[in-house]
Amino acid sequence: MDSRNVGIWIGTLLIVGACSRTTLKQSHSAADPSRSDEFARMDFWDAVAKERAVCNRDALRALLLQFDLEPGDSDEKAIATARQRGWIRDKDELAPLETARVGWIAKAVCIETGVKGGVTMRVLGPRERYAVHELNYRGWLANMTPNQAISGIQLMALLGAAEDHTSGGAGEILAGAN
Amino acid sequence: MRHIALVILLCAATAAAQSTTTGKPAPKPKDQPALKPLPKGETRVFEAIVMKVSGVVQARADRKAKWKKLAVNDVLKPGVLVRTGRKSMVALRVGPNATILIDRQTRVAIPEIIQDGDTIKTRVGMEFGRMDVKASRIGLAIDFAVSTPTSTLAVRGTAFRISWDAVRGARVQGVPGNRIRAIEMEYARDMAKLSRSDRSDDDFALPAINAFWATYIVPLQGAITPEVLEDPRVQPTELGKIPDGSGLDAANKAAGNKLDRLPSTPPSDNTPPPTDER
Repeated sequence: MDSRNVGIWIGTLLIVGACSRTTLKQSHSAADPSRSDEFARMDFWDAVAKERAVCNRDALRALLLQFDLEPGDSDEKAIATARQRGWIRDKDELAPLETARVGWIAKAVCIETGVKGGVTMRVLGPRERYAVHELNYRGWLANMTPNQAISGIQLMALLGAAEDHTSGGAGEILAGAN
Repeated sequence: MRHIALVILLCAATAAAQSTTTGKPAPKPKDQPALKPLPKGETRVFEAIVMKVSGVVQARADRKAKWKKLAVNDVLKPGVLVRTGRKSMVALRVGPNATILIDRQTRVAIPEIIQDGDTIKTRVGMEFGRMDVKASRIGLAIDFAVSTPTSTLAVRGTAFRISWDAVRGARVQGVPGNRIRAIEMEYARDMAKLSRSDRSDDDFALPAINAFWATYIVPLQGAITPEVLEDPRVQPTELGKIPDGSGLDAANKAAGNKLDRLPSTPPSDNTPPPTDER
């Protein structure tokens, strides 16, 4: 094998490697159902907020908690709920420790918050691409694309904006009282 | 005479019933001494008291301690860390002059609440989230600072809302009653002084520029639907919703489309004395 072929092989491997999603070493979802109290949930949110990239398992759990859905005690149940709610297609698989794509998260947020989007999204439904465009436009996402990974603090910001949207705005306002 | 005895008997019975229903008689409120300047170099440490709790609110004394659930009347010492969950909030009286309302999904640390000589010094750190602050003037100098990951805010007796998240960065909104240049917002590159209901954020630090963009590019974010406006829980307020102005737009709609944004006014010698604190 000459050096040119070796170079082509290495280049191909690098391209294939760069296109695959990163797999994280761990997730922060409480595997132990006995730790489903409010302290465990708050610890989960704290841990997610510190993550540089959120994995599918944590993103799924965060979304289920955010929208008052039962997170379940296994990945299969959580994914089944996601399919049932239309967050992901039936043929899509979510590897638990793979970095979560912004696309399906944005789609889930649009579905659960009732964000209708623009003309294309209204006609075609909440597709990932248009859901991300819509949330970028609203300033809930930082000009992201569907295949990007999302950090924990960005996910918290997105879910906070979604909560504001569904609750009709900021809560009690102390500063307004002079 | 017989009637008088009957009235006295009734009063005694009522008082006895009240004391039994409440368990023990309420303690007499002590007259709090007015705060006076301390001699130079002397300090006095204050605490924070929980005034109102809604939802999941937890605190811990320092980074190594365990989280505990907060309840009304809990006393928090300087160095405390507070975290709120979804759909939760907590109101704290911090020291003798400040009130903080910590909104949902917020992480706050209060490392310092002291009186140093003639100054009430309060330091608050916000990792992320949103909170409303009111720092009142009580006759002593006020040194109240809030730090976020991208900015530091200093106030001298005023009310405002500050929020920080990873997407939109730091955002500050004052209230109309604020005095001239009451809030100083220091970003990594810029320094902004805010008066009245000025806004400032990471994108547009200067209030005048911020107001310009807020006026000419009306954001459709967080759209307020007619259903939301009819919701009795949603009341138009002076402050409205900070992140995107839609709450303010809702308030403006309810008030007959009168915009409540004022351009920032540079201070002048003819400026009347501030009248923000009533």
